[in-house]
Amino acid sequence: MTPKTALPLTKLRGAATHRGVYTSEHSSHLKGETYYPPQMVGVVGLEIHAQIHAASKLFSSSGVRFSAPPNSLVACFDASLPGTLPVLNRRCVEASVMTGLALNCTINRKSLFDRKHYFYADMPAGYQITQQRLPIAVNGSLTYSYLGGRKRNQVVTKNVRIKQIQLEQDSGKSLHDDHRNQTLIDLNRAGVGLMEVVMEADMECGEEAAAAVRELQLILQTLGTCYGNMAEGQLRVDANVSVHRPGEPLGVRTEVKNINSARYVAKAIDYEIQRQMEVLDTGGTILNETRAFDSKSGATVPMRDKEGLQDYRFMPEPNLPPLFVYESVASVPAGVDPTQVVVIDRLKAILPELPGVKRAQLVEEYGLLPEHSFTLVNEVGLMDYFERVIQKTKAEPRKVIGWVIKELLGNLNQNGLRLTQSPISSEALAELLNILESGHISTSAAKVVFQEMWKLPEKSVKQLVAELDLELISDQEQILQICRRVVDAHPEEVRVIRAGNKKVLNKLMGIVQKETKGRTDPLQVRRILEEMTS
Amino acid sequence: GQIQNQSCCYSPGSKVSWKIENSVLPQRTKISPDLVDKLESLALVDFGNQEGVNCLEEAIRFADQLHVVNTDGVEPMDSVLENSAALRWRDDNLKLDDCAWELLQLATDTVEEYFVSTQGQSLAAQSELPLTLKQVSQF
Repeated sequence: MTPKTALPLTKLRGAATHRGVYTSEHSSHLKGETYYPPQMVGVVGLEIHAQIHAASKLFSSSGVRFSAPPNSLVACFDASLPGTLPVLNRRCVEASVMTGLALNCTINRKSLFDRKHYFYADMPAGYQITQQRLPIAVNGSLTYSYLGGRKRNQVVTKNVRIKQIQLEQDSGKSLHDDHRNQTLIDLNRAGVGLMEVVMEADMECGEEAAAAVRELQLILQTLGTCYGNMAEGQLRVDANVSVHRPGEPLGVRTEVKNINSARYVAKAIDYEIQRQMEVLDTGGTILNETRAFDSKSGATVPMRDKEGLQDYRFMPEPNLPPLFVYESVASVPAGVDPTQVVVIDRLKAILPELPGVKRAQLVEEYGLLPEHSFTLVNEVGLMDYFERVIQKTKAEPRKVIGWVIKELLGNLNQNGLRLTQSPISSEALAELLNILESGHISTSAAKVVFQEMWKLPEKSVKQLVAELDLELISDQEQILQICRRVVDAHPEEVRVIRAGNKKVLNKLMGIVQKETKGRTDPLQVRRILEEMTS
Repeated sequence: GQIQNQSCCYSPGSKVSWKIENSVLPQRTKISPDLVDKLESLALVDFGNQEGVNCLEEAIRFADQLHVVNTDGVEPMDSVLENSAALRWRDDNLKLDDCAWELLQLATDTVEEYFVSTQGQSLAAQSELPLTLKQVSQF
């Protein structure tokens, strides 16, 4: 079967991103919509390039900045001028060791640099300095979670093995000018330090891969070793995808590149898995090729010409002796310059609290459900917001979390806003919750006030409550009168309630709430109505 | 292996040579035309004529002599500094230099501070001035 540029695939439902959708236990659930070959599963591994957050590059002292005038951050070494030599940046060594420690890796006391040769206009040297034989860190693991289950509210936790972390150079950038048939080269990025994190093929679908990437992003951001901004190319993901039936040998894999946002990680991988399954199902074979993800069509397309397997002619980098890092201060040989030493124990001691620890702490300290602490840590700044509200309010954490996740985050997502753009500050929300706690307004009234606060952030909470006339009616006599009126006006409903159908009481309650514009405490009203209809 | 030394020390002006019997060497490597094409595109070197291929085959033959040495249990050394902390690094300090400005002046083709390259993923198809055979034989 000749490969086409993009197979027209049957539309993937949202359920397709759930783990296990491709197995037979789920295909019957989706019968009639799309056909999934029984029991085939996806196999996904990732190669993630993380730009090291540092002031200068890996082997030269020119600066690292995203938007700078083209070719303004280029040292002679970056341009590969003859006679220049690489000088390793200490910060990059520390960053890669810390990342290795955070990912439970074994740090290699001795690691080596190699040259990987290929010709491309944005790599002036004709080779990239990397660590192919003996990288800085190996054999780690990453625990990641995502919200699964039918309602997407159960925390599913998985593990992926980290094969290795290696230090390597980034290449420059090429801009293709198709009109004039030329390529413009900007070397600002050439030589920037990268950590390549290789994740084993332990993942089965796009959702798992996206969750693993997200967790790695959070860890790197917490460590400060990489800011992980995918839009600026600080974190780049390449996926290795194949399909097979469990128990059978692994299938031919393809490499998917050009995934440049967190959203596209899952999309690109799921498309490729689906594409491969359809190819195999119609009797075709999978080519071991590199494919690019096209965000416009949501499809992967073949990328390179089939020139046969690339041969990178790896060789040891002759200009760089082995890289040594030391276990403890005690293991540093006498006479070694202290500025030339990286000690693993010292870095271990200054490792910050990782996201997994933060989540567990939130559960313990505030009694939150795991899925809530997951969301708090997952959304940028939300944990801080939550803790600020907690500080300023007497309301219980379990109540606060409901407001923060359902009302605040829900509204932010609906309006496509980030937390920093929230019209409601943590102080304002705390104030609202205090008024609610003190019994001045009902919960439903508080929700109305919340919406008004959203629209009119300049008005104070107290002002809005007064203006909207939502204070709870405290006059018992008034409430009794209203209830009496409603009961008298609905004799049929009262008869049904007295006959045994208690659910109809809710209808009466609704009428009372409407009449009082939500200014009554529902528990109180229920008690009164129950008495009146007994 | 059988190595016959004509002299055991070297002094300028005297010729030292050794000879290893062909029988102890592995089979002579023949370079196929396909391999020539592949090597040409990988290394951007033009040597696709009989003289070039012969030169390469002779170079491989010369290296074949290493097979006579017993390396069982010996790790290859790629740096005499393999056990010493010779790698010196620098602090993460920014140094501004005008190298790029100078380079842009040197480039034959620029467009608004970008270097210009002829389009194409692989440069093999458009290699300019590949190494001549004479230059190859000097390595």
